[in-house]
Amino acid sequence: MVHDNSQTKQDDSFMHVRHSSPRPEFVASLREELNELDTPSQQTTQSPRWTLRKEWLWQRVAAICMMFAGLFAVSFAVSPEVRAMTRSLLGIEGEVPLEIAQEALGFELPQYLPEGFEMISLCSSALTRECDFAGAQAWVSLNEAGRGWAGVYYAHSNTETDNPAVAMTLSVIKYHPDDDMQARIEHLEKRWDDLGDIGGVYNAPRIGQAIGYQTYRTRDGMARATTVEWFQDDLKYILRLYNVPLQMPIDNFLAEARQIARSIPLSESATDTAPDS
Amino acid sequence: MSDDPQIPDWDAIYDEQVARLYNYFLYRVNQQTTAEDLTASTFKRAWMNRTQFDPQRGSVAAWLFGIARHVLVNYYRQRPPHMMSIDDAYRAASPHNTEHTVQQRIDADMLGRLLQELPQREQEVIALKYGAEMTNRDIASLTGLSESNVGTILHRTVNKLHALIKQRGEYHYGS
Repeated sequence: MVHDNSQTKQDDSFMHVRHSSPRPEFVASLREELNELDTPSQQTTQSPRWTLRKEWLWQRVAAICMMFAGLFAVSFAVSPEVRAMTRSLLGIEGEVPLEIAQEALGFELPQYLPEGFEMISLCSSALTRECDFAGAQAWVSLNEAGRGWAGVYYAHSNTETDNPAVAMTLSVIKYHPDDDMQARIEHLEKRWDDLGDIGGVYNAPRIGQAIGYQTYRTRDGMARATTVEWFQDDLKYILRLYNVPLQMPIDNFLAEARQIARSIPLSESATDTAPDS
Repeated sequence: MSDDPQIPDWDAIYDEQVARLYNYFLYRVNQQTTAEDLTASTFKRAWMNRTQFDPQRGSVAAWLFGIARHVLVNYYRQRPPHMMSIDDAYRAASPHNTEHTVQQRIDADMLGRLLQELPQREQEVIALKYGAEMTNRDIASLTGLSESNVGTILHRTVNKLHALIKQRGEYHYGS
């Protein structure tokens, strides 16, 4: 056991009682499953154990497919038209490769969500790249203004969703552990004065932040509405996770939030509508 | 075993990390079968995306536990908390356990239940410390908290749990 902090010199032996070894059968079967996961595409770059399939026909088919996939990937990367066409064909909007996200944001994206970051939304189709990152940058500038909190958009390719065909945009919100929660709520209330009363949310400041920002950061009407729809699941999840009570039934709250989202005037620039930017 | 020091030895990593990940989840969800499922999900995601791992940006353990925390969040999204699987319930009530094992089981379950009642941040720090057996420094690095803050949270939380257990008079460790 590792004990490296003098503050934990108290008797903490009881804390280990929950510790146990995983079942050997589980460890062995999981290892087998992982070995089976080694697909040819990964093995070409990763594992020296990769061997070509014996069936020559399949080799050629695979090679041709990979060649087209490579050409498509290049076209997709360099051409907005190809991206737009692909999204249109697949019904996907807002697909943002990690590299583009990194470049657009101008700072290093985290590999994981550190403590203090709440996952508030997973939007696969709601946000376009343009409004997405304008919003994100404005949000960051809010932090630079000394508000003590910041938001980033975290574009992820496929590790955070079970659907590898859809790139997810993970929206996270950061709160500082030392923040004055009341001051933040008051700040949000002031901001929301411009948007209308979405009462009921004040008992749930984290959720409120999410709704408030998400709804008026985006500039596309459909996107806003869709975003709110997406929030329904997130809200329910967060309510469960934190046992946060609302002052009104969640469906009523969502209906209000949706109405507010649709009433927000469109702007030529998402930055224009961003808070305090 | 990889000959290139830049390429991680994923088999060795699996051996090193599987128990840590499993216990991290066990401390978080208090269910053996769920902890196994979440461990498997984490490793599968990591395995499928291991070419994306960049050693310049952190250790393999930090990367894995970052994925694990996402997996946990997704788990909570999909399932209501405080559910016990049939398998876990069966094991907890198994008549084949010896008295000592039963008592250990009760102690472990009680600790598990108390952990579930903690705020999320405390649960996370405790799970990383006593489940994943991370150092305070590693926990700080993973969570974004300061090292001293981690120590303070641990100290207070352990004290709180200790008091709760003594108050309930059910715990038998060391006896």
